[in-house]
Amino acid sequence: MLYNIIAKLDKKLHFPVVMAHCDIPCKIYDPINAQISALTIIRMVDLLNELKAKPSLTLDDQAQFLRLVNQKESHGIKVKEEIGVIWGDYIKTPQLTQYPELHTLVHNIMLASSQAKQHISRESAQTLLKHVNRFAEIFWATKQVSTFTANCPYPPAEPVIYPNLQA
Amino acid sequence: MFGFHFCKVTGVSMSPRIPENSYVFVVPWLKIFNLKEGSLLKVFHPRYGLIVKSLAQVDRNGLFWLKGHHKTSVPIEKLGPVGKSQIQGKVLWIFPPK
Repeated sequence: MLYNIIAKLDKKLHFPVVMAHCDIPCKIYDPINAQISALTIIRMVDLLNELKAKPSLTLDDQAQFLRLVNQKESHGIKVKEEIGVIWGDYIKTPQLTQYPELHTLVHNIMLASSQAKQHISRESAQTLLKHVNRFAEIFWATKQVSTFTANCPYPPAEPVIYPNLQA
Repeated sequence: MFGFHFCKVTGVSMSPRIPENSYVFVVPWLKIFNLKEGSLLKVFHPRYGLIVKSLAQVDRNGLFWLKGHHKTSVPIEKLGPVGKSQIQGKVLWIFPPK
């Protein structure tokens, strides 16, 4: 009863609003960052393999080697963070009921990301991209957005799941 | 007239203690209240604007650290500390929706 009286007063007097924020930004989720990070790892592996083909490394090459390894490492961590946030904050019972593979898929992404960080292996990096693409496909499906597959228009030109936002 | 007023609460960060869309009765006379851990405060936060949070602790510099009650709340370290001048009042009563 008291609540109703205050609500009526609010309509007339417009009480100030205080926010009890949840994590910010709310409801802004997109797996594209994870996909780009997975692509970056493949690209770093390709560039590392180019260095590997050289008979010896100059000082510049050695600096480049360190930089590439660092980038591969940090993007591996980024994949985990991006997927972890969507999994923890967006994925809830309705999505899990619809796609029961989600928990296993996310765990596989974590494992594949570690593998991709640990090795200079194109195969490991491609496995990671494959899992992340599947995650993106499911993510967009839960939002009733259709998807299509296209090679990204830049190196490493690997297949990526994109949302078909104009459909 | 005396500074006390009602505010409407949006967001779930303080639930279940303050459910979303509750009204809170805020009293600005901080001097008469002993602000302790768990006190509910209306605060002007430089980044998040007017917020209602629970007092987590007062550090040795006299700064106030705030927290939410919900699992999705902005974490305490992300909110950062606020000075006493940013506290606009203490929540005295909560009127939750039915």
